Amino acid sequence: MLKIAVCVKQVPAYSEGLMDPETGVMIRAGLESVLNVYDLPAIETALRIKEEAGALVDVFTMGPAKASAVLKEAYAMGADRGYLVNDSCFSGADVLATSYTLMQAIQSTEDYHLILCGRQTTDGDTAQVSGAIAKWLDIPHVNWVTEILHVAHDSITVRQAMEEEIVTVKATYPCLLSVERSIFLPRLPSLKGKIAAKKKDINVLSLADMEDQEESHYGLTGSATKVEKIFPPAKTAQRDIIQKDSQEAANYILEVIKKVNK
Amino acid sequence: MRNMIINNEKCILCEKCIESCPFFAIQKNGDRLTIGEDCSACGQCREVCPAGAIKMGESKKEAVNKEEWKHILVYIEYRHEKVHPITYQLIGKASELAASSDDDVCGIVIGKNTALAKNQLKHYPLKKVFLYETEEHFKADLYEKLFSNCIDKMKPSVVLMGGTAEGRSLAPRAATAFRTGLTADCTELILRDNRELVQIRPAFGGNIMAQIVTPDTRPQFATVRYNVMKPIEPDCEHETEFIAEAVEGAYSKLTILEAVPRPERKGIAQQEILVVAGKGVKKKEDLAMLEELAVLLGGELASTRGVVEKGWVASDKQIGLSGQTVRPKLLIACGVSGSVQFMAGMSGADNIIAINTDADAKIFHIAHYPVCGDLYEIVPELIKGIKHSVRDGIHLA
Amino acid sequence: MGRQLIYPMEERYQEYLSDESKMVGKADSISFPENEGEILEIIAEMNACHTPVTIQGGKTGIAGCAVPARGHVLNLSHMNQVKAFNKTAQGEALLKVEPGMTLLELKKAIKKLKTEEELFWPPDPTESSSTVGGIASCGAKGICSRLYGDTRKYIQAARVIQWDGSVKEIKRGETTVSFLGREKDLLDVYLGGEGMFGILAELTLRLEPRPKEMWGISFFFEKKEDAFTFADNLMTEDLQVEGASIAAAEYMDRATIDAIEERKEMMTALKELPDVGAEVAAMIYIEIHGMEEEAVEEIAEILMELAVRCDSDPDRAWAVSGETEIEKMRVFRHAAAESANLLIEKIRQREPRITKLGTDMSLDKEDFQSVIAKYEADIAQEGLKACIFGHIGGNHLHINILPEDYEEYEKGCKLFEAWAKEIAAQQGKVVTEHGVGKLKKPLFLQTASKDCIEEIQRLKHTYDPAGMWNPENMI
Repeated sequence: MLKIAVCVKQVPAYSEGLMDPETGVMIRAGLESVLNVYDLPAIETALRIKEEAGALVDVFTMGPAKASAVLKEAYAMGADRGYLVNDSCFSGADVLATSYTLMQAIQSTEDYHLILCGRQTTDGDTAQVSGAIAKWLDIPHVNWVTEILHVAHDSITVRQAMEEEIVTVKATYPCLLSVERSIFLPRLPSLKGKIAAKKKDINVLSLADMEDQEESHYGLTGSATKVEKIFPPAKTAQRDIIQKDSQEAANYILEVIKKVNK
Repeated sequence: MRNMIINNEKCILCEKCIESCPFFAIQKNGDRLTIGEDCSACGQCREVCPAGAIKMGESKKEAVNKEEWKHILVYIEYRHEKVHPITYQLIGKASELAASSDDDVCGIVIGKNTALAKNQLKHYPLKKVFLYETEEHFKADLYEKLFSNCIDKMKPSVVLMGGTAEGRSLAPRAATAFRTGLTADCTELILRDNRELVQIRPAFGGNIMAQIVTPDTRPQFATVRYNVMKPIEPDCEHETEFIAEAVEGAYSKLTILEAVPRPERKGIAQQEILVVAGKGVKKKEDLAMLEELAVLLGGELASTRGVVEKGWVASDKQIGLSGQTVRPKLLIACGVSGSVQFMAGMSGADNIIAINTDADAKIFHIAHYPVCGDLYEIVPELIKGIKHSVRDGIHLA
Repeated sequence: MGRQLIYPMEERYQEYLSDESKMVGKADSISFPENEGEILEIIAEMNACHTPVTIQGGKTGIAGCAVPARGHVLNLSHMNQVKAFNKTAQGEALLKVEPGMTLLELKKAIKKLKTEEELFWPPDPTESSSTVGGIASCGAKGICSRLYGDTRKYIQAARVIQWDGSVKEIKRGETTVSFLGREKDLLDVYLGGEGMFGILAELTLRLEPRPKEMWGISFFFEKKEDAFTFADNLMTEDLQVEGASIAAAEYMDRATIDAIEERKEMMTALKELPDVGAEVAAMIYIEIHGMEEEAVEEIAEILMELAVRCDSDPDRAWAVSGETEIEKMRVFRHAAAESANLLIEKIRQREPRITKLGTDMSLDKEDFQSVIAKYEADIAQEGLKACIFGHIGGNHLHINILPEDYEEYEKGCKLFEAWAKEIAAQQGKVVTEHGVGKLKKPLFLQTASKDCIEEIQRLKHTYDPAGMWNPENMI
């Protein structure tokens, strides 16, 4: 049977409007954590394949204990097993360390044929972890997948949206696909599924469950990049209302259009 | 915890760090503060701490010999025998960085008929360009092998790539091959004297900027979105050395079965440029003027709910909470007052120009370029101006 | 004197002559005051020339309360600031806001408050651009009023500007007036007063701890009779679980679902929901709120069993939790009202004499099944089309007649009158939460008791002797 791993992430519900523009203070109250919306189509893709061809659908998420909520959501949608990748030494990870940790978790669990990721997260917004996981596992990967065309016993054929072209690609297993939001409209959990999910257990994977147990390969020490500082963006927005005669106003707008379209 | 460390003896419990933390990672437990798993080691808490009680946990990683890694490599995207225009923006930035460090800017082209790239590149300041001849279509695994081969030989300190579909697929794979860092969508890059690349990118939907470095590993990978950096203008012919390279036995586990041109994008949600008609438009016939403006700019006409309800515009052109949410690069709001519902559907636009006779119109609160005036006077002038520019060879669409 | 406050009613202010009722009124001037001082200046000027004033908020009302009949339009949408927040000794969380604050702005403002526990303001009539002042003025309460009750419960005090320009601070429980032989809190004269007694220049809202756990469940029924049974069982079933309650129970018929689905392609927010199966004849949306996760689940399980008994497949029911996911469901429910309004708007383009024909009547004496069956039978007998949706509690249904032509519109109007009389005779409410305004004035005058109308006139005379506020409204 086809074995599928789906990587998902818990993110803050509002990626925008977080910082008070006047004081620069982050608004923390009422910040709900949700399953990254880009990951829902990845789960849906796995479930469709399961329904069509039969498959085991496992879901992995790396994060704090409360991130198990997104695994429950995946259960409610129909996922088989959920893995919370959690250890105090995993925190502070950048793309490199995150992808390494997820790779270790995946590799320590099953020999998966197919790994599915969402296009990107709403908080990090980098769309990089999927390609990095593929490299760690040394398997091919296809980004920007908009359609699953054929699921065979040894390969999967998909449509990939590049900038200028739509490409039909066949990838042999094991492989990784990063799917676009448009691939499938994710199902809503059913009431029965949701109630059943509440009673289902979450598997926790910590450092001790990994093949590589060298602490320094994970988290902050395993990261290659370092955030030196964060600061509020310079306000470039021009807010002074232009009041000129029509000719000048038109010229002004034209200059703006040229600047934007450079 | 291992990331940021709080010295509770020094801590004066002012809780400034709690407020400053963008990841909500600091908690107060009784009379001590603890840093939780959400910590990203961004250092913001250290900045605001008046008591100097917070320190960065030290990384124990073995550093590579950074002296061996010099120069800047630009990934030159090359499809159907054409160099992607983002290349010139990357070369522009790379030249700027190189000027401060005596480094060279080199390029790599991977694809089919790479020799034909020479003519397109010779007017740009590139020291060397490596040409890897292979299949026409991008395959992440195969391209990464060739790219890594080049990086291995050249040992660049910095690798710049376009934030295109291809660049964003290839970059993480290549960076992981060298166990090094990658920063996506940089809006500013600065090279320090020790060749450390300072990478600045927006985070949290543009609400904060993060300054990132890659301290111990090389190369330092960064991607840059299209049209963020200024392109370099072609000048005299440079003595660029073009070097044909190959990798024995490189293959892909991906098979391309078909590639067809991407169909035209349809619908206002997909457009990069939108002209929006609001209640300031008095007659249905007047929409033709705005339609013309939209077509001239290569965009589409959209409208507010009010105009749709009058039956002047099809309802799939409606922007707002009860219509479409749009994020175009440029939105020109003509005679739009800016209701809450409307603005919720378009506030994500990169650039908003608003034309309205009412200086108190709410749309001016979010417009980047608010223009108080009569659209019936300004838009015809604007159309004239655009036609002039097009005649002068300036392409706006 | 500062900036110019009063503007002549020029073409660019056209939109302020109308609201979601689509009635178009008349006015000579308009103002957008930014603080109480400016309101007072404007009122003084209007008083001097005996010009009546219509108060306006978000213009989202559907009964035309904010549509001016003549005179001046006082638009409060620029007054949208938080004034103060404090906790009383009794632990009540009170938020003072200006009346032009929209629900969306209010939600954001509450999120910014630094409080131990998360708070919220229970009235939530799904339209996020409606203003607090507008909600207070027509008593809009939204789908969760089943649990939280009337909006007035969550308004503690108000600063009222009276016709003569004097300002009065009214706190709940301080003063009462007699109304229909009972004592009514003075504050409640203004709340639900549709802007006929004075200007609410500042409101003190009572906030409640936000339920920690929220579930939203949509049940689908292939036979609508099953949905009726489910609705009636909801009333009788033992759903008493400590720590959680059903906050909302909403019915939508197939015509409503069709109207919503038709708009899907045009509305980003709706696109995130899967299609409703073609075999579905009706749906019921339920929200469970509670502080205890287990308690919420327990109710969900009882509902699941009830659904099975009523032939609704729990494997197909949508079930979500958390604010973000629930918002998607609310968008769907809110789209019911919006889609009905849009259908009417389309018809209006053909026949401008037609306006919205939507009921806001409630009658809690009978069971759901017989109430809705009666409505449906009447509609069928007249050969009319309608979409029916609304609150199951109190059988508070919004029936929107969709006339093909003016003749059908007139038939619909007659039907409405008949229903209103019947409901009034059975002590139901003809107008529950949308307000009477100008659109439902004839219906109201026909059905309300003579005593009631006289009492309102008396109050109007007491608090607005000069006939300053909202001319032509309600009475």
